[in-house]
Amino acid sequence: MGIALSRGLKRSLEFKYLVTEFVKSDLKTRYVGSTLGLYWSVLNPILLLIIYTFVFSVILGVRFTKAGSIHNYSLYLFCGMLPWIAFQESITTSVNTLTKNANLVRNVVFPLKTLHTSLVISALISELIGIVILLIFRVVLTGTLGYLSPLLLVVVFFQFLLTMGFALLLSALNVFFRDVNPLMRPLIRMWMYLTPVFYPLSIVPEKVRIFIYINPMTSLITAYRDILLNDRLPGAEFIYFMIFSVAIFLFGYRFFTKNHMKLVDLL
Amino acid sequence: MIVIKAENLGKKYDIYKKPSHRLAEMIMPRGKKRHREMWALKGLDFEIKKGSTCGIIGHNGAGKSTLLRLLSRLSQPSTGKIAIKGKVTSVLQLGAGFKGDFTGRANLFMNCSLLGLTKEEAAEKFTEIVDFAELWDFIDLPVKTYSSGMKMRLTFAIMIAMDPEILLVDEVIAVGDEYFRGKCFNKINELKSRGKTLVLVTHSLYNLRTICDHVMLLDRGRLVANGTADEVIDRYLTMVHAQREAKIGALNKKASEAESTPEAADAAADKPLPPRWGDGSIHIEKVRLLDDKKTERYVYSPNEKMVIEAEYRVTKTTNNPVFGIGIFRNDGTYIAGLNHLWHKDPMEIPELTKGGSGRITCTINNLPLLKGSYYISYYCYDHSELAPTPIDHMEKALVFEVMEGNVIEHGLVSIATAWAIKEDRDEPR
Repeated sequence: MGIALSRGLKRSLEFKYLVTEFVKSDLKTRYVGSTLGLYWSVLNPILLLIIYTFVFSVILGVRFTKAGSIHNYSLYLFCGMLPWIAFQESITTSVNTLTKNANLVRNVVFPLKTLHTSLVISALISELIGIVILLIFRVVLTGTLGYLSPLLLVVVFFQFLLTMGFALLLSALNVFFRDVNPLMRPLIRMWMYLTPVFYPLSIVPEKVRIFIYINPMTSLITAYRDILLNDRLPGAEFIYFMIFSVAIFLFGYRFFTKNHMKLVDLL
Repeated sequence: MIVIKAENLGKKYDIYKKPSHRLAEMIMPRGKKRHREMWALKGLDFEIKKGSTCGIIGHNGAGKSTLLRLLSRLSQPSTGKIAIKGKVTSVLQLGAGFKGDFTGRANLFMNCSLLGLTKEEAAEKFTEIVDFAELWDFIDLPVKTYSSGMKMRLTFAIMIAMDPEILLVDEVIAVGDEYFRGKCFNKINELKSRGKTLVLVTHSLYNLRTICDHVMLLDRGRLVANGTADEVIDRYLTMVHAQREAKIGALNKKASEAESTPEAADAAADKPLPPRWGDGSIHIEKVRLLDDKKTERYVYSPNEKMVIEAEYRVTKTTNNPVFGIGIFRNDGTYIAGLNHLWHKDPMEIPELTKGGSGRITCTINNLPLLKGSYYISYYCYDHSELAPTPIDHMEKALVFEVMEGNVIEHGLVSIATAWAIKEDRDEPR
């Protein structure tokens, strides 16, 4: 297993140019033909943040006792949205990447995992743009710097593992059972509501809080907020997240590698 | 040196009727088996030597593409093993992995990276690839605007630029125009002369004969012949003839039966029968084709002996009947009209008496037709008057086919020729 993994890693590095090509094409495909092109990936999160600020602070007037000022709610929300959107986007695009690229997968010998890797990376790149915008807004709105933000690299690394694990597992399952792809829509929506993206953990009743806690995305989003907004180191729940991420990555990787040849025959 | 060696190679696909059957089997691995096995290839043993060119022929579904997929390592064998020495590149499908919205240039780089090249390596090959594909005018246009021939050119050019040790080519080349196909084959020949190993799937017997050192014939997943091009092509043609024969024989039989029994005629009533007219004083019962061994056969090779035999029955005494044959290509092209009166050694039939019956044969010693489908119309006319009147005129009495022969000939007819050359020289050497 360890040897297979390191060999897989080495092969992935050999194909890093392919991954960058895939990422480039993926980012370009999103905005192909549009006038602003890649600028959309910067413009989109800015618009999103402006809308949140407007809706929640001006229209709804949501305030959290803990968060204090009204502006912070939009930052709070945005900070939770960023990793969630990256995760959701990676999963929903990866789950049918094999079936969508069947022609390629069936006829060209190349490491299939590059497909998932590039989708996850391009989602992370969009997220990174969002983070930069978030930090700029924070400075503007609160006048304080998020000095812990470099620590986010560690978080993103484990986030990558978690996302890759699910992406590999689900995309392989989707070849066997095409129902997985349509099933993902409601599932991922449910998952989002089980994750404190829109609400703080504190409003969840004690009795059901455990369900929110076992969700690894809770730990991830909490870590983001701790680092980016609260200037605090993530707590013990992050250790759980790291273990969970590595476990799901190994499981997904193994499942994919084991069924690799069957998948190609089925496409 | 052997570069490809296959032992007991087999490929099985599990066919599930419904996706839920797969799920049931996965959940209960020890439960009842709900799939059926389909062996695309079974028990193949072969070797391919370095620098040789191997052709693969067989019907659709014989397993040719599956074999190429196994050799390309795109699919894993279910039984046996393959040992391959050297870098393999395969041209299996045109434009595999092309993104329509992106330009030819972007797709070219993408494809190179798929094949494991770095950006620098791809940039080095860029000119060579576009030169070969002759796509300079189109390289910056989106690939969705390309014709299938252009996609093929780009695909092939990229693969060739990989400088493979072993090149596997599926029938995609057939997509290109005459000029580019020729260019591809010239390139293949050049690779061959540089000691590269080639495996080609093609239906063109011409290509097999001219390029391949040896040919493998697949039939329903089995390797039925493996040898020199001439040997295997002979075997292939025999096989194809036998299969076509069964089909066309049945067709001709059906046609004659449909005529004789009223039930069958009723059944075929909605399909119009080929027109037939005449006064019926002589009735043509049955028309058959016989080969040189006097066995009934409807598939021929060029220049074979073919006998057209008709059975007749006389219902009214007739003077000077003339039997005739029209040979047509299946698209209706009239190829020949033959009868025994308008002949260099005319045969006359003064009288056929009522109640009599017999057979009339017309022998063609060297059937001068080339590959294609043909039909024969059979006629009996009364030539006692100046203008012949029809006695029994049978359109499309039977169909027959001519298969590709063992000699390369193009066109419609086989013409026996003798060639000579005499060079004009000022002084004798």
